[in-house]
Amino acid sequence: MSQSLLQVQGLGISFGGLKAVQNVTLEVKEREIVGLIGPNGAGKTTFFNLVTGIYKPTTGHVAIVGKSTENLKSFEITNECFCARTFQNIRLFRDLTVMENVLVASHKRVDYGLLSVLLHSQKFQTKEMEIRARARKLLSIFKLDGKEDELACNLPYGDQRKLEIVRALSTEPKLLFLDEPAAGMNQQETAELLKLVKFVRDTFQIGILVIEHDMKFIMGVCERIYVLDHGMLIAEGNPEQIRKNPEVIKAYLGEEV
Amino acid sequence: MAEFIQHVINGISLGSVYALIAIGYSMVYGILQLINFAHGEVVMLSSVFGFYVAPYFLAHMDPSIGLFLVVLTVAMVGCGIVGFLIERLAYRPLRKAPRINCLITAIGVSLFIQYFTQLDFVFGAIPQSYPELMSREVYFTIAGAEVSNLQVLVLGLSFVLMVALQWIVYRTKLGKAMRAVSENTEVSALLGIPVDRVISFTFILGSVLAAAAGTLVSTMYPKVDALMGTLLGLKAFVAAVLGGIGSIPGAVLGGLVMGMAEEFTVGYLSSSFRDAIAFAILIVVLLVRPSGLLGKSRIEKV
Amino acid sequence: MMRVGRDVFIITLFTLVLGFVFSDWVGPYEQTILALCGINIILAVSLNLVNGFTGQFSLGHAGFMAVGAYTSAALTTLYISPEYVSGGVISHLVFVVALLVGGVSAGIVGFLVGVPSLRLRGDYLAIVTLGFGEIIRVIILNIEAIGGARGIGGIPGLTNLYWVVGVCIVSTLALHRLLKSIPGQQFMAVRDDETATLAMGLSTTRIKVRSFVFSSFLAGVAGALFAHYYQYLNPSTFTFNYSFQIVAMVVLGGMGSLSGSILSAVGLTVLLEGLRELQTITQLDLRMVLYSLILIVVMLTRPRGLLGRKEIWEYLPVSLRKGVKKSS
Repeated sequence: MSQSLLQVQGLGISFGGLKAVQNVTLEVKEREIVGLIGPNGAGKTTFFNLVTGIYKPTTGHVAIVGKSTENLKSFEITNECFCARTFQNIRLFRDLTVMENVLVASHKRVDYGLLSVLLHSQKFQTKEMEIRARARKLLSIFKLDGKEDELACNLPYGDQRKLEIVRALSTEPKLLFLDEPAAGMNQQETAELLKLVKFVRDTFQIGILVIEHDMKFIMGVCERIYVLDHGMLIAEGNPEQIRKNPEVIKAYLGEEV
Repeated sequence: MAEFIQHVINGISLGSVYALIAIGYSMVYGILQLINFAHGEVVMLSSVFGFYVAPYFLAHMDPSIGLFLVVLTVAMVGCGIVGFLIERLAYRPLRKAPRINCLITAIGVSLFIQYFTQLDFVFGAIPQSYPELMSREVYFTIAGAEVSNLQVLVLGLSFVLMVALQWIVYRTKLGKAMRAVSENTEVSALLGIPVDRVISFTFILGSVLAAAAGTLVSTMYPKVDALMGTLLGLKAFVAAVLGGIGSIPGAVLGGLVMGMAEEFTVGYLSSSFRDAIAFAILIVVLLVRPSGLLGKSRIEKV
Repeated sequence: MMRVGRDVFIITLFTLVLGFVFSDWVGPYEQTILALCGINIILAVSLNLVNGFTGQFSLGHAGFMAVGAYTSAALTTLYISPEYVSGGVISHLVFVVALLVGGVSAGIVGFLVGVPSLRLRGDYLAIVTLGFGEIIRVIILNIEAIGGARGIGGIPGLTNLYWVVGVCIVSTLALHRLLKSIPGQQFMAVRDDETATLAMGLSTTRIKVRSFVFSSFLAGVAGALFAHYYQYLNPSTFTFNYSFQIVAMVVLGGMGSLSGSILSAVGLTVLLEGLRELQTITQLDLRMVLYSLILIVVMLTRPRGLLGRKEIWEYLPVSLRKGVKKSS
C-alpha cells in the first residue's frame, strides 16, 4: 500500500458566521494526481489556504508527509512538510526575471554565508553555478529556457502559469498544490499542460492536488476527484464515477435539474 | 490631590485639541488610506493666519470671546482653502499611484509648507507671540484645582464642533456619501457618488477642525512657531491610531488619552520625555493592537 | 583567495587614486562637500536596501546613523587614550575598530527596532521607524556622558577623504554583490509579493530583519565617518529632517537602483551646498523649500524616480553594455 502524502481530517473554517469550509476529509497518496473541483465560491482556494497555513483552521487536522501542520507557520509548512503551491491569481515576483523567480525558490540549496557572498568565494561561485544550472534544467522542461532573462511580468499569460509551477517545483516538494493551472490557457496549451503535469509527476515522483474548472483537463489528468460545494465535500471517486454522480450534476447545474 | 486634578483638567483640555486634529487624520485615512502628514502644518497655518489677522480686529475690538470667534472664523476659512488646495494639487494626481508615493508626497507637502512659512517674507523662522484674543482668568476651582475660562472655551468649542461633525457625518447627504466612499471608493463611484468632490469636502472639513485646534492652542499657549505643526500633528496622529484610525469616536477617545498621558508624564516624570511619550504609545499600540482601541481589524484576502 | 586578493587590490587602487585626487587637487571647501557626498552615498545606498529593494519603508535612518556616530565617537574620545588616535598607523587601525563598532552597534539597534516593527506594513512601518528614530535621539539627548544636548566635541579627526572613498566603494560593492546573489534576490521577492515568498518556504520576517540590520550597519559606519570628520556631534543633527533627506535621495534616484542613489546623493548634496551660497545673496533659506518641492514634483511626474528599478548601465545600448560587463 502506498503511503499517504496529504491527510486532511474534518477541516473547517468560518469567517464571521460564514462557514467557508466545513468538515472536509480527504487524502492524497504518493505519486497520485487528485482533483478538487466545485462551482465558484465552493471554498476550493480557501481549502488550499488552510492546508498551506495561510489561514488557521477553526476545526480539523492536516498532516502532510505524516507531519501535522498544526503550530507551523506557512513558510515552515513549505519547508518541513515538503509541499509547494501555485496561485489562482498568479503571484510571481513580477519585477524579477524568470531565472530569478526560480532561484529565489531554490533557497534550500544555498549553504554559503554572508561572507562568502561578499567575498565571492570559490564555494559561493560553484554553488551558485550549480543552482543556476539546475534552475535552467527545470525551466527547459517547461520550454521556458529561452526566456530566462525576461521579467516575469512581461511573459505571456500561459508562460506565467508555467513559471509558477517551475517555481513551486524548485522548492523540491513531495506534494504539489496547483490552483487553476489551466485558467486563461487555450485548448492547445491546456492539452500541453496536461502532458506536462503527468510528466512532472512521473519524473519527480510527487503527489499533486489540483483545482481546475476545465473538466477536460481534470478528467484527463486525475486519478481521483473530490467535489466541493458550499464548503462541504459532496462526492469522491474516479473521473468516470464523478461524471455520473447526480449530486455533482446538481451542484453544477443548479437545483432545477 | 489638587495637583492630580489639575493635571486631569489640563490633560483633558490638551486632549480635546489633539482630538480635533486627530479627527482630520482619521477621516482622510478612512477615505484615502493616506496619512496626511501635512495636516499638522494646517494647524500651524491656522495660528499664522490668526497672528496676521488679529491685529486688524484688535484695532476695533477688545479682547473677548467675540474677537476670538471672529479670528477663529477667518482661520477656519483660510485653512479650509489650504486643505482643499493640498488635496487638489498634491494628492489628487496620485489617486491611482502606489500608497508609498502618496506618503512621500505627503511628507514633501508637509516640509514644503513648514519651510515656506519659515521664509522671512512669509512668517519667519523665529517664534512670535500670539496676540491675546481673550484674557485668561480663573473661571472656577474644583478641590483646589483651577479651571480657566480658556479651558472651558476649549472644552465647549471642541464639544460643539464634534457634535456638529457627528451631525454632518450621520445626518446629511454629504456625510452619507463620505461614509460610502470610505467603505468602498470604486462602488461609490459606480453608484454615481462624486468621489472627488466628497474627498475635497473631507479635506476641507478636517482642515476646518484643525484650524479650530490651532487657534485654541495659540490662545492657550500664546506662541506661533513655523515648526509647531509637526509635533502637534504627530501626537494627534498617534491619538488617531490609538483610538483606531478611521473611527471618529476613536479619534476623540485617543486624543483625550494622549492629552492625559502627556500631562502626567510632564507632571510626574520629566518634561524632557514630553514628546517621546507619544512615540512610545504609538509603538506599543501598533505592536499590541494595530487596529486601535475602537477600530476594526480586517482579514487580508489571498 | 586569489579572487579576494584581486578585490582588495582593485579597491585599494581606486581608493588611493581617488583619495589622492580629492585631497590634493581640490580646495578645502570642495573637500568638505566631497566628504559629505561620500557619507550621504553610503546612507542612501544602505537605505535603498530597505526602502527600494525590500519594499519596506523606513523613515528613521538618521537614528541608526546617530547610534554609529555616538558609539564610535565615545570609543575614540572617551575610552582610548589620545596618543593612539593622534595619527600614524595605530590610529588608523583604531579607526577601523571604531568604524566596525559604530556599524555593529547600529546593526544591533536595527535588529531591536526591526524585529517588532517589521511586522507592520507600508505607512505604519514608516511612522513607527520615524518614532524609533526620534526616541533614539531623545535617549542620546538624555545621556550626559556623551554630552546630552550640548553635544560631544574633541572627537579625533581620523576621517579623511581616503577613508570616505574607501568605505564608499566597499559598502556599495558589498550591497551590489549581496543583491546579485541568490540570497539577495529574496529581498526583492519580499518586495514583489510577500505571500508568494512565504509560500516558497521563506520567512519574510527574517528576510526583512536581515535587510534592516545590514542597512543599519552601514548607516552606523557612515555615522562613524561623519563623527570623525566633523569632530563634533550634536543630537539635533540627527533629526527627522536628515532621515527625510536620505529618503529623498533614494526616491529621487529610484527605489531599487544603487547607481540612482549614488547619483542623487551627490546631486542633492551639491545642490544643498550650492543653495547655501544662494542664501547669502537672497537672505532666504530656500534649501529645504526646494528640496521638498523637488520631491513632490518627482512624485507627480516621475513616480519611480530618475532611474526606476534599473541601474544606470542598463540604460546603455546593448553593445556598450557588454563592454562594461566585461571590464567589471
